[in-house]
Amino acid sequence: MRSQQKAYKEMIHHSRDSLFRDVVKRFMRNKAAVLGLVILTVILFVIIFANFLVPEELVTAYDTQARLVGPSAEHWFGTDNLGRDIFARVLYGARITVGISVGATLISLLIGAVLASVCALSKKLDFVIMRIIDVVSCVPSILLALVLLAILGGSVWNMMLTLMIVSVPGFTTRIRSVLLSVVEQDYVKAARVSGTRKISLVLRHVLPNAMDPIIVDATMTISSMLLSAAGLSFIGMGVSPPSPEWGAMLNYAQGYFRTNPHTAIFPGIAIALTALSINLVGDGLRDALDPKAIK
Amino acid sequence: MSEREVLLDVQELSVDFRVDRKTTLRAVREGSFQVYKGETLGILGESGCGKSVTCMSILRLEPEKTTRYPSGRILFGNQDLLTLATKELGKIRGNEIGMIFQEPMTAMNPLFTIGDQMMEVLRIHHPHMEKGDAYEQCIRMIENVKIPNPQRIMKSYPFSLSGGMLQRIMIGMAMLNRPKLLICDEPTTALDVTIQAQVLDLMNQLKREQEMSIIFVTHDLGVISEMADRVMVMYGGRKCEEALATSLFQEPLHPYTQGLIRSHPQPGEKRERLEVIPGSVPALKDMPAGCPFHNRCPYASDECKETFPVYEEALPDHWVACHHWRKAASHG
Amino acid sequence: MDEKEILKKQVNPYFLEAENLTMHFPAKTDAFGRPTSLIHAADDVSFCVPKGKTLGVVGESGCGKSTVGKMLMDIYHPTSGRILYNGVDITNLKGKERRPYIQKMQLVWQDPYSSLDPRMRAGDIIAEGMKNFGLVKSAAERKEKVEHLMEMCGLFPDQAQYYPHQFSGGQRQRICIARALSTNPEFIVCDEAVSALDVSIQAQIINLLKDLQDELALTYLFISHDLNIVQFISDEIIVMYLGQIVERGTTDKVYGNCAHPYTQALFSATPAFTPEEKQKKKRILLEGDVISPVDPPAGCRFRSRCPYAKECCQEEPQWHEVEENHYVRCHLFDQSAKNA
Repeated sequence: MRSQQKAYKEMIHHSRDSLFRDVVKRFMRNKAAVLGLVILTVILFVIIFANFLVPEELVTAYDTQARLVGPSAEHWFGTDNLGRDIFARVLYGARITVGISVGATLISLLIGAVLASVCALSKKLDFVIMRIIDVVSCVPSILLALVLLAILGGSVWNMMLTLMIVSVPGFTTRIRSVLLSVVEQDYVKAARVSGTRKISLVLRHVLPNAMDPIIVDATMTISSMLLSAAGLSFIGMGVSPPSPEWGAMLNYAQGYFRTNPHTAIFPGIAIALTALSINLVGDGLRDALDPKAIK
Repeated sequence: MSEREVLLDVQELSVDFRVDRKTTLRAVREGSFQVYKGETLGILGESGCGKSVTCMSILRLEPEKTTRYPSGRILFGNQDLLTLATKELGKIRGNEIGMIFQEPMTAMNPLFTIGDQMMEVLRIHHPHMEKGDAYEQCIRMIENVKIPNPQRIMKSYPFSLSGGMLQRIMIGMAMLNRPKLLICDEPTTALDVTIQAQVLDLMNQLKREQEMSIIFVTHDLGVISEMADRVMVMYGGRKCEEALATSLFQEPLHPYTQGLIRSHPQPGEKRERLEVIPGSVPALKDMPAGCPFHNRCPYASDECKETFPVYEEALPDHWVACHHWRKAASHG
Repeated sequence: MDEKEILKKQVNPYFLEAENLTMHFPAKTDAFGRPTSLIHAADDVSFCVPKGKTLGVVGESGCGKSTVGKMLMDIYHPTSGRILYNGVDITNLKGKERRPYIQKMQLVWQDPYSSLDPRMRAGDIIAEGMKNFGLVKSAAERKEKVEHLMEMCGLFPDQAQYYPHQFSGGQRQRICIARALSTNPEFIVCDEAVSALDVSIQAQIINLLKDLQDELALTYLFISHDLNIVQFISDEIIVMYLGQIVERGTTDKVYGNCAHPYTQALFSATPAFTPEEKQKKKRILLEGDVISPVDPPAGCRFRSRCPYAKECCQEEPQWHEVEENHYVRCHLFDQSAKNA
C-alpha cells in the first residue's frame, strides 16, 4: 500500500512539472541560448554584488594623476579623460543601463497587457484604444523619444518613462493579437460554456496560454531598449553626466577614441555583450516554448 | 491471379524515423505487397498504422534527414525505388507514378494560376513540349475531370475554387503525364459526401479509361469497398490481412478487421449498443512486441505476446496474419 | 403547411424549442462597418426536442448545423428567432438570468485536441464547471465528484493529475464529456463529437453517450455529417442544406423513405461496405457544388444541383407531409401543383 502511494505521488510529481521540464530540456539543448544565459547570469551577478567587487566611490573618484591611462593592474579597463576608473564605471553602469531597460520593459509590458486584456474583453474600448495607438504610432518612435526627453530633461527616471511611453503601443498591439488568437481557441469557448465568468476566463485560460509568446517578446524588447537607452545617452539626450550609463560613457569617450580607444571599447563591449546574450536567451526561449514542440 | 502482370512489388519494406539521437521508431515493419496492372489496391487502417508512411515511402517523400529504410526493396519495373539516384527518381515522380494528397488546398501553390501549375507539371517531364500543346492538353484534362469552362479555370487561382473542384484539378494534374500508378493518400477525407461521391466516380472512370493502377489509402471502410479491388489492412505498422475486397467484407478473418467492420453502425439496423474494440491504438513508441494487436484482441494468448504470426493463405487469395484466425472466423 | 402546425403535432411536452432561429454573419462591410452582404448561416430553423430524446442534425459542411448548436449555447447570438427551454424564452437573457440555463445546457466539441486547455490538468478541467456554479462545497467533495465523473466516462481517477497532451484522442473526448456532465446538465449538444476520432474509438464514444443518456435522462442534439452514426443514435432527425431545414421526421421514416432529393442524394453518396447494402444502393450523383451562402437567391436553395428542378422551384418551397411524423420542404410534394 505504501509503495503504491509512493508511486502515485511520484506520478503526480512527474506530471506536475512535465510541461516545465520539457521546456527546460529543450532550452538546454540549444548551446547558443545556454551561452547567453551564462553571460546574462554573470551580468546579473555583477549588478547585484557590484558593491562587494569594487567600492562605489571609485565611480566618481577623480585621479588627476592618471588620466587616460591604458588597462593596467591598478585600473583593469584603464581610466577616462577625468581619471575615473572605467572598470568601476562599467560595473556600476550595468545597474543603470540594464536597470532602465528591464524596468521600462516590465512596466510597459504590464501596461500593455492590461490594455490588451481590455481590448480583448470589450469591443468598444478596443476600438478606442486601437485608434489612439494608431495615432501614436504615426510619430516615429525615435522622434517621440527625443521630443519627450527634450521636454522632460535627461535623468534615469525620465529615460525610463520615455522608453516606456514609446514601447507601450507596440506591446499593446502585439499582446492584443496574441490574446485575440487565444480567445478564439475552442478551449476558451468551452470554458465559457461551462459557465466561467469573463474575468476568470482571461486570468485562468487566456493569459496563461498567451504567456509564451509574450515572454519571448519581452525578452527581445529588453535588448532593444538597452540599445535605445545607450543610443539616446550617446547623443547626449539621455542620462546626464557624471552618471556611468554605458551610452553616456561612449559619449564622453568620443573625443579620445582615436588616441585612447580603451575608453570606448569597454563600455561598447558591455553594451554589445548584454544585448547579444539577451537575444540569444530570447531565441532559445522561443524555440523551447514553441507550442508545436509541446505535444 | 498470379499470371497477371506485377507493376509494383514491395518486398519486406521497413521504415524507421529518427526522433532524436537516441530514439528511432519503426513506423512500418516488413511490409510486402504487390500492385498488379490495372487494379486498385486499398490500404485500410486507422491513424498511426503506417498506411500513409508506406505509400509516401514508395516515392521516398518522407523527410530524408530523419527517415531510414533498414530493409526492403520497392521494385517498379526493374528499378528499385529505394536505391535509385534522386535524379532518376525525379523522372518517375509525377510522371510514371502520380500522387494525390488529402488537402488539395495546401498541395497547390497559392501564388500561381491553375494553368501555370498544370502546364509546369507537363513541361518538367517533357521539356521540348510547345506551350500551345501543353495548354491544349491541360484544357482537355480539365474537361476530362468534368469541370465546366476550362479556359476560365486555367486563369484562376487555387483559392477561388472549392475543395471538391481543386481535388478534381489535382487528379487531373496527376493524370496529365498518364502515370502507370496513382498513389492517393486519403484523397476524399476532406470532402463532403456528395462531393466525395463525384470524385470517387471520376477516379473510377479515369482508371478504366487509362488502364492505370491505383494505391488508395483511407480509413473509411465505405470508400475502400467502393474503390478497391484488393484490400490490405494495416495495424501498428504491420500488414494484418490482405484479400479481395468482396472476400474481405464478406468474411473478415483478422480480429481487428472484424472489429472495425462491426463497430460501424449499419443503416437500418436496430442495435442498442455498438460492438467496440477496447482500448486505443498505441503510440509508436509503445507498440507492443509480438502481434501489435494482442492487447486489444479478444482471442489473444501468450503466443501472441511473443511472436508475430506468419501470413497464411486462409482462403484462396485471402491472406491473414493471426495465430487464432480459425477461432475468429468461426465466431464471426 | 405551416411549420408551426407541424411542430405542434409532435410530441408534448416540448423540452427545448427553437423558433425561426436565423443567423446572418456580415460577409463584406462598407467603410463604416455596416454589412453590405450577409452570409446566411441559418435561416428560419425551427425544431423541438422532447425530453430524454435525441435529435440528430445532418448536413454537409456549411449547411449551418454547427451554427444552430452554437446559437443554442449562446456562443452566437441569433439574428432573430427564439429559443425556449422548458417553455421559458431564454434568447435574450443575459448575465445572472442566463446562468441557470448555461448550467443546464452543455456542449461536447468536435475537436478533442483544441477544446481542452493545454495548461490545465484533466481533473481541474472537469472541476471547473462545478466550481463555477458552486455545486460542491469542499475540496474533498469536488475531488470525489471529479473521480466519480471520470469513472463514469471510462477514465481512471488517477489520471486526474495528467495534462491533456498525455491522453489519446478518445480519452480526451471522454474528458470533454466528463466536463460537460460536471454541471449536472439536462441538455447536451454534441457538435460532431466523434468525427475527429478513429473508427474503432468512435463506437466506444457513441456507446458511452448512449449509456449516459439512459443513466442520467439526458437530452441530446446530435450534430454530424455521418449519416450512419446519426441514424444509430437519434430518435428524430432534421436534414439541413445551406442554412435551411429541408426534411424532418422520426429517424426510421426519414431513413426508410427519404423524400427530399437532397436527402436521397446524401444517402446514396454515403459509401456502403456490406455486400447486402451495396446491392440495395442506387447511386444518385449530384452535379456541381454547393452554392455560396452569401446572399443566396430566393426560392429552393437546392435547385442548382437538383435533378428534378422545375420552374416553380424559384419560389420558396413549403412544408408538406410525406407521412405521419415525416415532413419535407420541396415543391415535388406540393399536392395542389400535382393536381394542376
